[in-house]
Amino acid sequence: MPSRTSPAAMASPGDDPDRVDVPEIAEFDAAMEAVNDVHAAALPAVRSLALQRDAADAYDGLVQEAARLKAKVVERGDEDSAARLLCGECVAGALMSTLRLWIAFKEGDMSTAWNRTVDAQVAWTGALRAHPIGAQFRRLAVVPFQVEHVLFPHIAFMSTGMIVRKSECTICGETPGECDHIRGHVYGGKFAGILVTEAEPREVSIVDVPADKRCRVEQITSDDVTRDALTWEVLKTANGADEVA
Amino acid sequence: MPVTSASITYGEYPSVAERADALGVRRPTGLTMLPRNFATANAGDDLLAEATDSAVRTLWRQADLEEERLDSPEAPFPRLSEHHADWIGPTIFVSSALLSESSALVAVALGVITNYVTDLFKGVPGRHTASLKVVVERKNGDCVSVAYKGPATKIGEIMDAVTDLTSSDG
Repeated sequence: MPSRTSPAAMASPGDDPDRVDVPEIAEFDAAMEAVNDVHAAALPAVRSLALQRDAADAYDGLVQEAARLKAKVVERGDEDSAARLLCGECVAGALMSTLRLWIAFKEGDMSTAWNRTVDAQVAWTGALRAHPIGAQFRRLAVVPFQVEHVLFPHIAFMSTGMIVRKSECTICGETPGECDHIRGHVYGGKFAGILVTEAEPREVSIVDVPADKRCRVEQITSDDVTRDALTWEVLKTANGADEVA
Repeated sequence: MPVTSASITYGEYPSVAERADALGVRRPTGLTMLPRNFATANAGDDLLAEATDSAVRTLWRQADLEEERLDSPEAPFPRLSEHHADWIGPTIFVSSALLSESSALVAVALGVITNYVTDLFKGVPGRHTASLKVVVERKNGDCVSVAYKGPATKIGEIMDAVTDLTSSDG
């Protein structure tokens, strides 16, 4: 039995009283339990890099497994199971991103650490939205948002404004609004979105809450000194000489 | 001067019928989404829809609500896409004819939007802001607006404000 003291041990798309008996969900639950049993111990930040690298690979494998099983239930038209497996896929992805965040942080690669933090936020948000069973992860989902404020400085984000001439629904390819798919809802184990196919740029803004937190100011130049916005290391000085980063 | 109460703002809005004539688009007489720059655009070709109008269109259709479009499926208005995390809803126009025929329909139309936005952000960590404007046409053709801007999960607060506005034209 998996330890219930581990946050990751909660991570199961079938782990709710209304659980349905679907072989693919049972298979994913078993795979998740197996990975949690071995690798959940690596989730705290202070664990060794070697443990965390192995664990990140294991959760990455779980993401692929969820996608494989999801394809099978989608083939049967089982929308609810597909959404549950999407939730599981997101949970595994969130745990993987959290591990990769710690790895990058310890390796001193702060840009990657930031991107993995955002990946974890996006994945947990996906888990919460994919299916009502995601509600059990609300407490865990706030962790990467807390990490953002504890580990990183205030970041200036960029936002691109566009005039969209043509776009497609990511589920069916129709013009959004003309089909029955609603952005943010789940269909066939996928979130519906909008793919912009023809647009003209309008403006670039600095915003507090961007759509994608990976779009950020990476370097800051002040008094002829250019610094990395995260590490504050000097990248370039007035005479153009590059500093050792 | 617009009056602001909490995150609800009441204001005046140009006559939608007159703006429609000036822009060369049809005068809406029912439930309509107005482009963002409907009040200020110089020509019909300049009109820009909100990125969220497609979701609202589908929600309304699935709720069997009849939308009166100012554009057409064959020639939709270009859409504004701003890559921030806020949910910026379209401006909803409620004609005086619609209000006198079926004010309950207005509540349903707004309810499906507010439920969608609330569900989208319920329990999701982080700061999520939503905005939605409703323009109500008086019997004399004048228009007033009520706008919500605030936490996405509280967008339902606009419902009471719209009810106040629509019931005060007795």
